Amino acid sequence: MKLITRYSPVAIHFGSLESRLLQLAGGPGGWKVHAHASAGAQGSLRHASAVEHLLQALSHKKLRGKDALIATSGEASAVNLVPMDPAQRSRLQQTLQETAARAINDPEGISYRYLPLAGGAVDHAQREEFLLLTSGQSENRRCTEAAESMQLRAVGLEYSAFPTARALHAMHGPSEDPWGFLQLGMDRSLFGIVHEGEMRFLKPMQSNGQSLLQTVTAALPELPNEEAMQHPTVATLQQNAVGHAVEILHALRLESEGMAQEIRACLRHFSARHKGARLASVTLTGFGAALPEVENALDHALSIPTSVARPFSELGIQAPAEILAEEHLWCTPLGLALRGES
Amino acid sequence: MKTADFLPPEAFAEHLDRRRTPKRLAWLCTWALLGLSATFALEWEVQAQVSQARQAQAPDAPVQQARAEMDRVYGAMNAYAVSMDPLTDHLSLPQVGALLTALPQLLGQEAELEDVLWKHEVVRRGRNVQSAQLLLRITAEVRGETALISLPEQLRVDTGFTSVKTIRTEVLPENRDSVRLELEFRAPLELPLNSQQGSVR
Repeated sequence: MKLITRYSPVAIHFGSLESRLLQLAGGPGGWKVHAHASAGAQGSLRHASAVEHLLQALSHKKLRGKDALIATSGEASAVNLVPMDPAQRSRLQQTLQETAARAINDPEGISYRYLPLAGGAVDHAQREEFLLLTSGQSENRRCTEAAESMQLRAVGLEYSAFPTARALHAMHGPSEDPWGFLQLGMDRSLFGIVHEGEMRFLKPMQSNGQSLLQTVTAALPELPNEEAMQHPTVATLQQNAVGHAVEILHALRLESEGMAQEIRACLRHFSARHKGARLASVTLTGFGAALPEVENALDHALSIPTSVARPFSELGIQAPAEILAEEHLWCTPLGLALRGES
Repeated sequence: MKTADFLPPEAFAEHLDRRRTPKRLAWLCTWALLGLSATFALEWEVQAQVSQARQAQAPDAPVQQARAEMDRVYGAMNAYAVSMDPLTDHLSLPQVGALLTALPQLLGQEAELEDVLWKHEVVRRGRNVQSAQLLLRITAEVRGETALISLPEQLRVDTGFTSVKTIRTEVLPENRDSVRLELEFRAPLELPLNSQQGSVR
């Protein structure tokens, strides 16, 4: 019997298609899911709608007054890689401010954060690189107000790639080799590299989950009913894909090859800056990760071990079946919940 | 992993501080429990030692019984001690026997010892003894003037008394060569005092 039951902060991810809430109970020795809910909502005003659904789903849970960690993704936030010559170092703030202002257009203003990406000893003759993260003030306000309307205390607001990388880092454990992750969101994809427990590279990709979905849907025979045709779910697609692997792989060839080329370019850049470091593996997360045959297509195209993220299973977190069925979609809330845990 | 947080860093720092509170309470409780345990252990040890000391001080029942029996026997014996052991009383008296036999010789060949009186002269104030002396008075007829003058000093040296004084002289009409002397010998009484009666034994 445990004398003190620990609870993680309430993690809320306002995704572009769905918002998810997660709270863990237990501790580093053994976590289990205490509360979880998801609500579909889209658009810039999705937060209020999501909160309404989440509150209904979690009315029996005592979450009032808890600390909440929030992640956001979508069009209201942006990520940029900013190279900086040593001679221009004095203009760093100005350059970052200008880049952030170009990335997001928000009438309430923008806020930005940046991180240097160099790992180990910095060669002063080499160009520095900064990861610039920009978010609109209106997006930040909506996120914090949404948390407050749930009577939660917002204590953190991150760009979704960081909690995702945190959850995957916990899943991979301490590793000497760098590893990558490909977050295949519905309207945006990101490729990131983590080395020695720190984010060393992060870049938006051209392809996204929507283009993959269109390709897969086109390769499959027509779905049986009208509603399924208009709003196909991953489950119905997977069900319909049985016996059509060859067709899907063929259809995904161009898409996956294009994505692999982009990733290879990123890897060349990373390798040049990190003394020839090579990726040990690539982990897929987000909506597009579970589309039929995407994992195989990317694995074949990249020639790097590629797998869909299963952090709950890998970390032994007791979770209900609906989470275990789509673990790749719960990486961001899990990473938020694990923030601050050693 | 470093992150980019769009909220002020103080918010998350305060969150971490709040999360530490149960751990702090747990540590506090642990230390309090340790302190209490140590206190109780110390008290238990002290009680054990006190009990051990009391047990060691308490007399054995057979010893106590034997001591009471001995006291009773001594009490019974004391009542008869004086009558049962006259030798003790006799031995406690001053030893002047040798002096009495030697006195005629010390006084001279033609001297006659007429009277001998000895006693203890004790001066008391309340229950305290201020002085105790052995007093010896003799009356003797001695012949010759030389003896009259030098006899006290001669006797003091020979007997070892502290002082020897002539307290009375009497001319004898029937024998004009002789004179009757009364001599007083004094010496500190070095006999033990009777503590029960406050007197000299």
